Amino acid sequence: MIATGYSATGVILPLVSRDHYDGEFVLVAATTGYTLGALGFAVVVARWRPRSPGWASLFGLGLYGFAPLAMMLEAPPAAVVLAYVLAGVGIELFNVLWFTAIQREVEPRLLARVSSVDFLFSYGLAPVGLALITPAVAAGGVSTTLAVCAVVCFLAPALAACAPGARRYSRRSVDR
Amino acid sequence: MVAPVAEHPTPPPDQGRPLRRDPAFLRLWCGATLSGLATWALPFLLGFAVVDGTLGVGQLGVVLAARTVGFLAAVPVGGVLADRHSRRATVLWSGLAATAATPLVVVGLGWSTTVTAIAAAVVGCGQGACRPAYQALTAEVVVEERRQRANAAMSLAVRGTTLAAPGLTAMLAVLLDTSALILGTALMWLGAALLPPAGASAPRPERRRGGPPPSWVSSSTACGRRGGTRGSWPGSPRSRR
Repeated sequence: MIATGYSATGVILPLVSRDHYDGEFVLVAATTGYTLGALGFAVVVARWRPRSPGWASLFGLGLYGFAPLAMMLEAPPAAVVLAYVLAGVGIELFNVLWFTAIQREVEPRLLARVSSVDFLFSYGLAPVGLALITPAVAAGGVSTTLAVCAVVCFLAPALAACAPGARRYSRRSVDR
Repeated sequence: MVAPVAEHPTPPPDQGRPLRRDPAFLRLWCGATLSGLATWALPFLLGFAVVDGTLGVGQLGVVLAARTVGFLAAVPVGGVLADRHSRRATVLWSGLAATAATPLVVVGLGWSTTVTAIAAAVVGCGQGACRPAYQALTAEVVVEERRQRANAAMSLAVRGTTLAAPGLTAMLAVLLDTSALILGTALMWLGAALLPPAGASAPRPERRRGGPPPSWVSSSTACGRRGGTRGSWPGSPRSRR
């Protein structure tokens, strides 16, 4: 999800902004919209306690798929920006509930180690995705690459939601 | 015989005051915000160095790659150190390492890319080691019921930084040169190292009688072994402060 979604934003968004939208406006508006979406939703998620935090969080993660999808469909600029606002909202929802669940579910003596694995995969996969996305575009074209990115962004959280305990990000719900 | 288990710091009971008025959380939030700001600022300011000609584009790539390598190498090490020793001490030493290395980034600019790259790698190490330690320290400082709000507040700071910092930095660049701005990030790292509250005392190293200490990999998968209810880990005192 990180390797595909973030790479689509990092590499293909500037490309699409230049080639399909005649300049940097979509690039600037989309990245700003992403941050504003995340910023605004941080205030909401500070108070909101969803009944199924795991599913809510993974649903938020899946919202990122709208970003590559909007670019693939060559949607109007406003729709691309809106997709990025949604992506920002979703990532914030995911991050806050995920971090909170890790702090709750992981045994305290192992918490920093487990967090390090989490960070290592998040940050470690990003450069891999960035390195691979340009050859992917060269081989399959922009639209195909964006389609693959969108499918992965939608599918990966959906599959994760099927895991035992995913609904509430809780092992206790599995034990019951 | 049951193996001795490390003691685990736990946050003090909820005193009923809002999170924004909790001095311990405010110190943690300020430290985390400063570390996030410094993390964001270095590549941005190195971009300024490219614009003013003190760093080539290729050299920028080398320096940023060195920083990323340092970060990725230090994340697991920081995680292990923070679990085996004190999370607070890990934050302190990783922040101090980044503080000390940042001036060397400036020293190397326009003189030695190797010096700048090595210094950037050390800054990356500090950045990487403090991330998991901050994550675990949050669980020591904030009670479980308020952690979602605390995490949202920390994230809010990161997003606010991303949004406001480029413009503010550009304004500062009118008054200060690139070297001075990079040195400013050393002060941010110093704040990130010193501001967070002291966690409870360090857990004793976890050693099984007659056996080696648990490895990073094996213990990272052990999170599934917990039983019982929240806050009642075997051997874990309810409150240590």
